[in-house]
Amino acid sequence: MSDSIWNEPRITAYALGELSGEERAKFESEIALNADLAAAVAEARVLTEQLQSHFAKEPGPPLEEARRQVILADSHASAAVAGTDRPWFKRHGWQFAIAASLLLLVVGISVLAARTAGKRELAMTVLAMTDSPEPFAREAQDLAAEGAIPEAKYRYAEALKQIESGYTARPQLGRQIEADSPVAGAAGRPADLPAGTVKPFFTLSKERGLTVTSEPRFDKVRIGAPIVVPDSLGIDPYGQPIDEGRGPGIAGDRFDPITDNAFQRVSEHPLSTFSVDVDTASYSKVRDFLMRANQLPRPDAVRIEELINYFDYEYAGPDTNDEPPFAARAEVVACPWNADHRLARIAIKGRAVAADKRPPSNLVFLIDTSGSMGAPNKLPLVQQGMKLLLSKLGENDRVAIVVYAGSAGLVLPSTPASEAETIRRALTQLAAGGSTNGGAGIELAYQTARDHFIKDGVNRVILCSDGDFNVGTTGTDSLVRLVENGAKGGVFLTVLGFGMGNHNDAMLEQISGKGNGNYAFIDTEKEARKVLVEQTDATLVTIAKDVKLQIEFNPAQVSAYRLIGYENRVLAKEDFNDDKKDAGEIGAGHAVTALYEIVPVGKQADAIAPKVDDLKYQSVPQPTAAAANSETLTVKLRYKAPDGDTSQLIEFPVTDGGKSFTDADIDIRFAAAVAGFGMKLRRSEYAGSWTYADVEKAAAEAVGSDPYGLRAEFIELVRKAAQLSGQER
Amino acid sequence: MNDATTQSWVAGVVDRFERPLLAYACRMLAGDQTTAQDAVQETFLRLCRGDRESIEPRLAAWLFSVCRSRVIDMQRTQNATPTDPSSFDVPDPMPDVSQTFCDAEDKVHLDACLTLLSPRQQEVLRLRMAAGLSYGEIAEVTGMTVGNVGFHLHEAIRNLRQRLAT
Repeated sequence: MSDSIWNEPRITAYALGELSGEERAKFESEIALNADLAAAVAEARVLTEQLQSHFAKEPGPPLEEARRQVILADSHASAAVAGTDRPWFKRHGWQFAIAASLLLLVVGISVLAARTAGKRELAMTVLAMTDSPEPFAREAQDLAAEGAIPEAKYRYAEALKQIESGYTARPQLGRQIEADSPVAGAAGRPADLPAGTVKPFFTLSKERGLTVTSEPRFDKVRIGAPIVVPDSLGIDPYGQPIDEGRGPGIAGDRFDPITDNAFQRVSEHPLSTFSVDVDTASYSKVRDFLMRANQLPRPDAVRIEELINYFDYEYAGPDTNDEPPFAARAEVVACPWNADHRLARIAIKGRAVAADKRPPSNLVFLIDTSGSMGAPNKLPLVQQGMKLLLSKLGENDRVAIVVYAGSAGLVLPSTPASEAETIRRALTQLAAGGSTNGGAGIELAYQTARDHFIKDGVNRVILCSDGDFNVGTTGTDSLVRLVENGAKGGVFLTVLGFGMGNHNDAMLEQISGKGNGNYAFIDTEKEARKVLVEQTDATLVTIAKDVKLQIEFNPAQVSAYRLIGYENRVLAKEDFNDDKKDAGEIGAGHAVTALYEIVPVGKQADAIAPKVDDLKYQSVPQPTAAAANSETLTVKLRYKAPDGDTSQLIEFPVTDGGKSFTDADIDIRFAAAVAGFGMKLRRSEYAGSWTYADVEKAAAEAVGSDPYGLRAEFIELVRKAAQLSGQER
Repeated sequence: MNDATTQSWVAGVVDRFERPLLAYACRMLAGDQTTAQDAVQETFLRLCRGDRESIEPRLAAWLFSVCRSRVIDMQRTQNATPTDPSSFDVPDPMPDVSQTFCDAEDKVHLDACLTLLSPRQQEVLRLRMAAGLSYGEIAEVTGMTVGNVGFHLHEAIRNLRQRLAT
């Protein structure tokens, strides 16, 4: 098709329905004779429709609430002058029903929205009458669908009059509706309005305001029936975000806020307690932000411990069959970003399991097939990833597939992995569509896992989702309870997050933590290979659960310390010996690294809370005899066997040998570089003197053998972040 | 009763047009959200004071015309007395940048193509696609002839088609 055909402006006009009768007839006869022209018209039509929906979805903010109130107050004042007694609504009851319902909603929403002080994003609820004759209802629908009633054809007895005197060009913001306004009363429901039942189709969340959560339904309205305004329009009046997705068309990843751990004085807080965390999702997430989205990640998306634990370190594991099932060691070196400080690294390495020794596995793939999973970096990647995992399974293993979209379903009953072709086919046939009911899906998946439970084997639900649970039992709490119960019954959970947009990071991390599981974010096929093929055992086989660490610092050596990362894993000191407190799991071959920045005695931490006054009625605890030796700290570690209920304790002291940073082994140096990178990305005040260039230099000198190119890739990420932050400032 | 219906009518109009008007004003003002909010607020206030019977049949065109002239007025006054933005402490009503990014994830390409159009093409496209005005109404708002509107719109579509194809 030649492009010259596009010199015809009537193509667009026709596609937009802008040609008048005669012109249209003429143009249509031209189209009939010219296939190129017809193709161009079809193309223009597709493009204009695309544009229409593009503009319709434009994420622009609405008018600010205060301004809206000013306008509504003003319309009220203007109209008061031009009153009428004519009972017009008797003849236009249905129109009025709509008007009244809209009004009620607007008022109700305004009141609520003002209370929550959130930005509101109003999508008008529409309703119509099924009691009325069909064409009538259709008309009402059309009208209502426009979200307003501008075409209502009733007349006022007197036309509205302009009030020029009261007009000011810049009205004061925040002028409120008069308290005695008949529509602004607390109840928001004038008693004499005939109207129908108003059903909300929206929820209010703190960040996004009001959002439509489903297609408008057309519900029954009986004229003259009492007005029913639900007390709670699905809106939390205290501004807490409701734990649901933000609704269709409104993407947005959700992360829980993270506040950096602060420096703690050893004299006041000699103990530091936290749960291990082997998740790696945050690193993939950061990489996705930087490399695919070309953007610095939000600080809250960066969990430093997950960045550090993403990498393989050459820690020696324990010998086979030794107890405990992992090796733990610690070392203190100079802190690279603050010359006065020291850096302590605690490293734990789980026992590896030989490929042929892996216990039989009973796996349930729980796959989100909702519409939002349709993107190429989501469902197709899930299918690919699961096929990769399949290739690592043997004849003793079983796989079932549960999908969830609008409803949950068992796509493939538990099948031996030897029937790989059947499983493969079931995976290939998955298609995305519908909304998400994660709750029902998880329930069904756990049920399936329990039905085929393998004693002393690996029983695991593998959840693949973008985390957008927006229908059904969606409260994080109820989901957490579900996975907690599953974990108690011996079914553990692996969460694989996919895709950007709608990614509910906080919820996925939480449920994986409670479900004795792990959480990884899969952004590329390479990452799928790392998690599901290279680390199959670590992902599937748990060797120790509820692993907690408690560090006691020696006040004779250390004045203050700071745990880097693990912000949402910090435990109370009492939790350490409480076996009922849940903590992180370690998989076969997993390594866990924790870093402490330590301020030696005699040095001052830059950013530390002021010292508390000495107590009047108690004396300061005196150092024990043990403090006199040169130990810097003591590491205490508790863990349980995967099926055990009582914890074992490991304890060992650590002494600072005075090592400089350059003499430290490459794993410490690399971990420090990653921590520094995380602090830079989090714009942390604790990053000290380090710049991205320092991070890059430290990492580049600590690449080592790097068998999978992960460290080289990290250096790329640092460069990219440096470049992006340079542009930002 | 009547004041309530007028108020609900205004509320309905605000709900329906606030976003397209804000987007329109904001684009004309090179992304200045606060001034755009001012312009749209004043547009709706004029509506409250206006003669509903005469406005209603041509509501969309009326709103966009008023908004457009408010924006142009504001651009004049603003340029006459430039203000120091650092002297004001106004929270940015736009959502967080990263938020905007996520929202726009799938539309980045189309957006990029849109910003490459001439301002006039962008304006007519927005009035047609976002606000749903007819050629005649767009002509009324912008002061162009209907034929001119058709030409610019078609040029916009044609340009987009080429850009999207590459």
